[in-house]
Amino acid sequence: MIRCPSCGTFNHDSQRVCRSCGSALPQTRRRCPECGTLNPVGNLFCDRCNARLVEVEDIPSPPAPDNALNASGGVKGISLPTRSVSSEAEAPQSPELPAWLAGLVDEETEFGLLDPASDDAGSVAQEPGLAASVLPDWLSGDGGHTAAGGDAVDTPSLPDWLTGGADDPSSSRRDAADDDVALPDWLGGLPESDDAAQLTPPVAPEPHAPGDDGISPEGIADAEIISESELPDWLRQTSSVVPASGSDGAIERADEGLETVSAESTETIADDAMALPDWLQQIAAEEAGSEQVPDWLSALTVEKALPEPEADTGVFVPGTEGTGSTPIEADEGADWLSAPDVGAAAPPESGVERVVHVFEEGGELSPAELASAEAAHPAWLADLAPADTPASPQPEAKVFTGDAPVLGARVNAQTPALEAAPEATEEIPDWLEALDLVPPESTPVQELPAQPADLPQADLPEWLQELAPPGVLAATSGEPTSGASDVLEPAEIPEWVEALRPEARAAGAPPPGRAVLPTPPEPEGPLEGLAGVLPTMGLVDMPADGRPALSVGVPDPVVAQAQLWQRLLEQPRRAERSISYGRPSTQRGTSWLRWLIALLLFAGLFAAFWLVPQGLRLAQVSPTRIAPGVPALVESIERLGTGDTVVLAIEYSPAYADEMEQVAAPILAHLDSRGVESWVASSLPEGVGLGYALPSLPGTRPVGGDGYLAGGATGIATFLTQPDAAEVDQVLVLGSEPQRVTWWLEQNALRGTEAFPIGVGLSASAGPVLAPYLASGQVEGWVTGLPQALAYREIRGDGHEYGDADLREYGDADLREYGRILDLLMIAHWSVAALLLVAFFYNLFVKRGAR
Amino acid sequence: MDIVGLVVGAVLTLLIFSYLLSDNALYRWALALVVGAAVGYAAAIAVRFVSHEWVARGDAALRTATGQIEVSSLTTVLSLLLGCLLLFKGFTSSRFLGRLSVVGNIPLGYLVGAGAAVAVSGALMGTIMPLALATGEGVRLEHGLLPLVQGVIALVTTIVTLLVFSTQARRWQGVEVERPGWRQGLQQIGEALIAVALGAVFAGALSSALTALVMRLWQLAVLLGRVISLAGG
Repeated sequence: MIRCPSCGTFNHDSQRVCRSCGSALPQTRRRCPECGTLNPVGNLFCDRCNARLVEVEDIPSPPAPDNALNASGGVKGISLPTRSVSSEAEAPQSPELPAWLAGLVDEETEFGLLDPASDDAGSVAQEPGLAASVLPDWLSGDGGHTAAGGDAVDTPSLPDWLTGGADDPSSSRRDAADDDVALPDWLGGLPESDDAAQLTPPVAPEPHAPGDDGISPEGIADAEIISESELPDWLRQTSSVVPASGSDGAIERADEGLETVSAESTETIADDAMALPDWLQQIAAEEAGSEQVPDWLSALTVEKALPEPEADTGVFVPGTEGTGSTPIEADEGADWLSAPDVGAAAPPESGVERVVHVFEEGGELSPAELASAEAAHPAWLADLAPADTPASPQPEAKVFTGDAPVLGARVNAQTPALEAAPEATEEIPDWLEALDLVPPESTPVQELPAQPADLPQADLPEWLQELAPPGVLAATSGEPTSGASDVLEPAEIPEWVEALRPEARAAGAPPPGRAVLPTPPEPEGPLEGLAGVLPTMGLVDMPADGRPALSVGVPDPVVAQAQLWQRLLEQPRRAERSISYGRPSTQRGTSWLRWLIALLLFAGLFAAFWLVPQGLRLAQVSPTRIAPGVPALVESIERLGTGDTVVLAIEYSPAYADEMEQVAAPILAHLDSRGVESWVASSLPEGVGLGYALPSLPGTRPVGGDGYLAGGATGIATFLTQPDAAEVDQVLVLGSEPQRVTWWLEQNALRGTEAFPIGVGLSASAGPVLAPYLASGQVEGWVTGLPQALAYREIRGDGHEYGDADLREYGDADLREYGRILDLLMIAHWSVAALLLVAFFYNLFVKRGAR
Repeated sequence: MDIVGLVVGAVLTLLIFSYLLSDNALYRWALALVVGAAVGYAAAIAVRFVSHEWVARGDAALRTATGQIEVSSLTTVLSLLLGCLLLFKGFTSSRFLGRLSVVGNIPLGYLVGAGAAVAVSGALMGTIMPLALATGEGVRLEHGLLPLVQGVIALVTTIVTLLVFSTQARRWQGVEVERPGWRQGLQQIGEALIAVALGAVFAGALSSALTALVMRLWQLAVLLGRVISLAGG
């Protein structure tokens, strides 16, 4: 049933408009476009054929990307079941959200993860995948299965694993780009928008190929780099592994010709190279294992007229091209090159090596060292920068040192990724190439220490340590590094992160109060047959305890009706009520009363019949009480003569035959005395037969064939208009049914001036109804009931000229019996009148008093 | 023969009187016998009327048509034709012949139209006009003061009674307007007059019923007297 929102009328499910007010009813079924099955509105897939009911176009997608980052091709729409966007777009802003979740949203908004002013924030909330990237793993339920990536700059306060980042930092965007085509839609849709790029799990700041991370160098330069002390150790180490190796690899390649790098440094570089991704290791192996210069580098060397390697003792420092930098002389750093970790036999460091060394050891660079480092790169490398890219000023960048951040240090360090850019570009997926990123010639690279194991444990809470990816803590669980550990301040975990502290529970167990939803194998797609790959996300994340998360305003009448239905349904079936098949007491009383009345009537009538003397006549007819119609009828019949024709219309049923025979008897005797002929007619089929049962008159015959006038009033009208009717001198209607008597009167009136004189003999029941007709002058005379029939006899017999004739016709005995019948009828009338009075007073006093 | 009639009548009367005990099978049997006999007799009359009279008329009309055509013969044939068409109304439940039932609408429409015309004209000329004239006829001084008073009373009571059948209140511009008090008083008087008239009708019906009862008891008493006289020798 569908309750009309306008009038509250309940309608059938199949109705589209209210049957009461006509208002449009809310749609409760959605027809499957494939099989036609009606599904509930909330279904996204058909219950029968599993076809999609809600088209992807129906789901409001995030706004179209407006920058180069979102111009990537191959981004597919999210095909996973999504929540209702209209209602949940504002879910993060809803006051019904739990406090901890609302706080999370506020914090993320504050940190720029969610921009409430932009539509993209809404899109983030709409897309579960994106929302999952915003929320921590344990909150979003991803469990750390999402791909690695992201930008630490954009998520400065959230580690990767908290921002839904990868638990596998080694995976790179290259792999993701390569698999982009084969990725499921929800993965392919991640880089669809700005926020997607921003909210993508951050990638460790590896200085790989430009544009590989999808972030412009300017953005990185302009962003405030978070202090490393705010990051957990495992993340810091994880971040340092890949870029450090890459950087050192670049250094190695840069200094390879100079052979100024010590063997220990080379060994360190080699060790770090082991942490490189495969593709980087392959590149490094190719370059290290052979003297073959890559083609692109060879071409560049030829074009730019590389100087002699010996003359170029420095490394290429990006951003310093055009500044007249000069290579740092090896002997300029002899002091700090004698550091213990480098070794006394270490060759003099170049400017860049000095910077690296400072990073490793901590401390600050002097302006002279910075200048030498800036001048360390050769001119031919400085010319590698695209001509159309303006030389950006040296950005202020926080540089990660070994122990403490070195603020204000101006470091321009080109990452080896720049050198490996051509190779890396080949591995970049199309969608990243389409971003058209600017080569990061001026990218301030965060120089990370080469030995993250030396990093101190920055007071990481236990619960964060537990949640850290495996292997991270192992790498950071070494002895505290010497030197700057006392300089490090304890990591400050924001309050909102503290609020996210999960309760201890078994690994893989769902959060308390959440039902474990099964994850069936994927029915189709690249993940076909795999179960548990994609997190199950229900349309409505209903807690297991059933308590509503949001307070929905339900009208009180609806609640009352629901409660009533619940009570009725839960009400146990009662025992069958005993049914009394006997008559109720009131009917028994009525039956006894009926018996009493019958006995009184019978006793009275038989007593009158047997006990009243023969000569005593109770029913007397006073001449003053005779109705005027009786003498008028006598007079009208007296006008008839021998040979005249009288039509006898018999319009009574057999039930009134006894009464009508007594009414008609004196009239027929009078007609017989006048010597008239009679025709019998009736609009009732049985009327003619009843007419023949009357005392026979000489010459009586039926009208027409058998005297039946079919058609009621029409038949009567037809008879009265027949040519044979011209022979009729008078019509005598004997009837007990007022309607049929009126037909005769009305149709006779239609004859106008040729209307027949009509006499009427009626039963007692029809007399009162036809009294207006009798008094209107349409009839010559009338007799109603036995009393007037007796009056007719009295008029003709008692002292009148007709008396003797009647006595001869019917005999004295008949006349005496007739008088006794009237006596009995009078007694019956009085008895009934007495009973009516008793019943009246009984109802007036007894029953009303009982009420 | 009279004795047989008296005995059968007395038995049927006692069976009908058994309803005083309860609604029993004997009462129902007697009731069914009475109703069935009446309906059967009516059906026999109708069949005889149609089959015998009309067929005879139609045969005469056809015979006459071979020689000369008379108007009465044409009307008889037309009546027979319309009567035959009316039989198609009996095929409404049949699937194929049911489509022919619309043919029966022709005589049915004729019957309804002609019957309505006859009834309306008869009611106008035989009921409304005569009764209206009779109501005003009494209001004349020619017959004396007493008939005049009676005529006035008849006129007033007739008008007051007719006022009862007007609505108690009427709507004017969507608002129910009650009648004035004097009008409501007249209507109450009219209702009382109607109650008296219905009481008279009830009394007449009761009188007819008592007459039937008395006549039946009289017949039983006559039968019993004859039996006693026969038994006494």
